[in-house]
Amino acid sequence: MPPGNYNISVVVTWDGVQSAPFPIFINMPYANYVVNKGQWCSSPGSCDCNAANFYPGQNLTGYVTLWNVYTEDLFGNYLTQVGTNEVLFNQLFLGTGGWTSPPFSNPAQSTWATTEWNSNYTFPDYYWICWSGPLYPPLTSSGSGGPEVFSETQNYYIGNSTTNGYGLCTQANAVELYTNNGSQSNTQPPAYPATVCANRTTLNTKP
Amino acid sequence: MINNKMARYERFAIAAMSLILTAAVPLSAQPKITLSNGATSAAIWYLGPQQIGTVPNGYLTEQTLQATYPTDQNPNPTVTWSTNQPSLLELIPYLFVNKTYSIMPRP
Repeated sequence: MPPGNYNISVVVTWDGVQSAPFPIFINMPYANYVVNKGQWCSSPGSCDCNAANFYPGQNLTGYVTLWNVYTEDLFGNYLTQVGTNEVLFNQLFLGTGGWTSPPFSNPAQSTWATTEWNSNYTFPDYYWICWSGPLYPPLTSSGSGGPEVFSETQNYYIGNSTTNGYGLCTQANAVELYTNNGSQSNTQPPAYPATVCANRTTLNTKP
Repeated sequence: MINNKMARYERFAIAAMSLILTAAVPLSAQPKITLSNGATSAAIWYLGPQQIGTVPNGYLTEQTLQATYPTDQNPNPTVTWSTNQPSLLELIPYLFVNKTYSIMPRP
């Protein structure tokens, strides 16, 4: 956590007489704290691709992994209900077994903004793959230890905006999608160096 | 012995009085900056280089300061504002009232 700048003040001069300094502190979104919650179930028995807001009743195979994201200010307090957006880039299917083009093609840079806050202090980030056809290595419901099939770089921007790239960069990381779960890796210290987000620094690589 | 004790008390009383006087005189002789609720410090939020949309509840990116100087009798005083960190803080005149200014963080 960087030290806050407490040396900010305003003075007024009134007919030549100066006031005492009026101290001002500028706070800001600073860091993300993320928690891997594992398999997402919108209700008991409605899990992974069958969860609400995914593909219930469509018999798709796959998983949905939930990561809860907290954002901290300069004091380590959690922010809530502030504008949030992400930029996702260098999205790569890794050519693992049949996980290559076709049937998949690498998606272009994209963005995402949360519309949902959990109990005010976290927003959910879902990593998921849902698919209807046969794949090798096979896609399964949530588990662990599957081979990696996809990666991308993710930049979080927290502030008052859901517009792509506006706000303050609070975290940059790689996203790894396996055949049975999704996770973050290579997480950079929040906003340092600031150029990690500003320069769209690639954090994911082919294994 | 008693006289010595009294002398110490007197010295203490005089010292305390002079402390009160030295503390009080400069305060009453200075203009003062406060928020409208009387607070004598402020915290504001910096939420990014450009503001898009509505500022979330509870995250003030701007605050209004007011200056007062009760002992000054001049009906049209010259009032100027400044900050020690102009690269971090923007001072904005408030509707041509030179005794009230707004502050915002700079990008």
